Amino acid sequence: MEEPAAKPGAPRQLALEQVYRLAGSLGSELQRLSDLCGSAAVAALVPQVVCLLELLEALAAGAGPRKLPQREAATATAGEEVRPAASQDEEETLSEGRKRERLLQVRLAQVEEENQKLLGQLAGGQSQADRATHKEREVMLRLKEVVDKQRDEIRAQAHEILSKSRDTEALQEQLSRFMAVNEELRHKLAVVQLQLKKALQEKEALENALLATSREADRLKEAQRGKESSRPGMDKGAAAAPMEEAPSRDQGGRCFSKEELQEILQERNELKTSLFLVREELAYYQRELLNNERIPSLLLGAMQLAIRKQHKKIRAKMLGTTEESGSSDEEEGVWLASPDSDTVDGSVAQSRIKSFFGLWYRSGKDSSTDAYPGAWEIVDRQEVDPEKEEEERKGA
Amino acid sequence: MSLLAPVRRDRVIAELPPCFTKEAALHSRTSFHPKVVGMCQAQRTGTVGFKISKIIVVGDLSVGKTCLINRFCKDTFDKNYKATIGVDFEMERFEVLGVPFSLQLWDTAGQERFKCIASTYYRGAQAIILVFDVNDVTSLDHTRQWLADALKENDPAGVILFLVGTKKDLSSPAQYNLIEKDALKVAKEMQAEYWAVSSLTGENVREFFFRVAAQTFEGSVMAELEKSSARRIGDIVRIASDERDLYLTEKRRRAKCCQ
Repeated sequence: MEEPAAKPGAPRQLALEQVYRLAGSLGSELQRLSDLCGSAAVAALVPQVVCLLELLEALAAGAGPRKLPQREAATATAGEEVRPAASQDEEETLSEGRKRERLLQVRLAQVEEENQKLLGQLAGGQSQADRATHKEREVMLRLKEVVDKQRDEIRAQAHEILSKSRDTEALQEQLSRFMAVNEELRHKLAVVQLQLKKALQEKEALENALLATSREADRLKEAQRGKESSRPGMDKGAAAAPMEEAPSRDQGGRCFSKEELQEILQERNELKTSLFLVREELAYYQRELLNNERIPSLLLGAMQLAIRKQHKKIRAKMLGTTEESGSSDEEEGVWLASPDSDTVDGSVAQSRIKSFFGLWYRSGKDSSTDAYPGAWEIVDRQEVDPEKEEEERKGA
Repeated sequence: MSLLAPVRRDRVIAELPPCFTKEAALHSRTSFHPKVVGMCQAQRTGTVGFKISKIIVVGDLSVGKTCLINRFCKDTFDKNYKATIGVDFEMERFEVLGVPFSLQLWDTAGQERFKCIASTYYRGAQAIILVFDVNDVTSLDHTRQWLADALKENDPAGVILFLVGTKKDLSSPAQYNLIEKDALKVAKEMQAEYWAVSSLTGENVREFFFRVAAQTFEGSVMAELEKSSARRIGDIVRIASDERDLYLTEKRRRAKCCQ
């Protein structure tokens, strides 16, 4: 109806109207789509469509600046003019769609911004994580080092403990050896003391017997003298003789001859000597134990041997007997090389080693033989323990 | 190290003990002979030896020989008389100038009938202690005979003599002074050192035995010095020739002694 009237400007008016119609249908279509698929589905589409429609509108309307401000109104009026019946709600829909468009645009911008922000955050987070792993690795390495060190330390300590426990074992063994030696010596001492006691008892009994015998002898002598004086003719020599043998003759079994007495005395002297030597030995070992000296068993054995040999010599000296093996080698000249200090307070003198190598420390060794004992009665250690020195050499 | 047991602290002699009276002393020195001191200092680095000196104690019966020894060695005193049968001995250990030294004190029977047994133990004495009772002049006179008997078994030049009067506690000062004159005369004759002691009270007992130990020790060291210096040259030569094999030397010496 209006079309023919607007024939001369038809292409332009038509185009404009067509644009609006297009816009309206597109708007409703989009509305429908958005209802159907949610506003997000068309969110990206709307601005482009609007943009296109605007371009189309501008193209259709021509570059009339006066018309642009009134575009809405123009469209509306144009819509009304072209289709007065349908345009009312179409326009509403359009404006509504536009509003929505704007809203959606704003939201999109927001979302994009947010997205950008998140991306940035993500990038930052990743670099942070990188740094964290690096640090972690370093820590792990350090930790490994520490663990290694501690493991080595533990191993060393375990080794130390092992060697210490071995030491302890050895010491305990030594201690028990010493205890055994001590026990043995105590036993020996007890035995000798018992023997001595018996011998002393015996001695007492003998003394009593002897006393009685001598009294008897005196009495008999008196009687004999009385007889002699009464019988002056008797031989004097015969009277002197029985005096010495009186004890053996007079009382038969009860008395002792001079030889027997000498034997008993000898035995007593021997026992006394033994006691003295055993006491010496005991004192020596006690001192060693008290000093807590560590003595290797080899040395200990050698020492025992040396002491025993020395004691043999001392015994011979004390009893005034000569040793079978030849004490002719008694030396007096070795005084020069004799003992180091026997300590008074029981501490061991320093040069133990030297004493073992005594041979090297003596200057004037004298091996000349003297049949007669000299002023000194010396039992020299060198004489006594060559074995020990040999042991030393073997040990060394 | 020593193989010997330690010596009691109260048996250590560091200085020469004084004599009883200067009128009858072995010598007038107040300290050990310097040679002896030097020797004892020098020998400290050597090896261990065991030195014993034999001392015999003689005198009339019941003058107190056993009591004297018991007072010193055991610090006991028994008033009852108990005759010694034959002989007996006690060991006493000393340390003189740092050198361990033992006295073997032989206590002999005073009774005539044991004399033949006791006299067999006289031999090899380094000192003779002649004991008499200060209250009994005859016991002093008898010491001459005891000395003569003891010297039969010993070298008169090699022994040291001590004349000891006992039981001093039983004698009044006046009595004692009287007998001391005689005793000093006898001591000078014998060239013995005179002492008067009491075993009951212990008066001078320790001093006396310390003097005995010191003098015996010194005398022996001096004798040794003389001997060793006489042999020194030969020793040096011998040792130099053996120097290369000391072990062998040791063996040889042993072999010789075991022949």
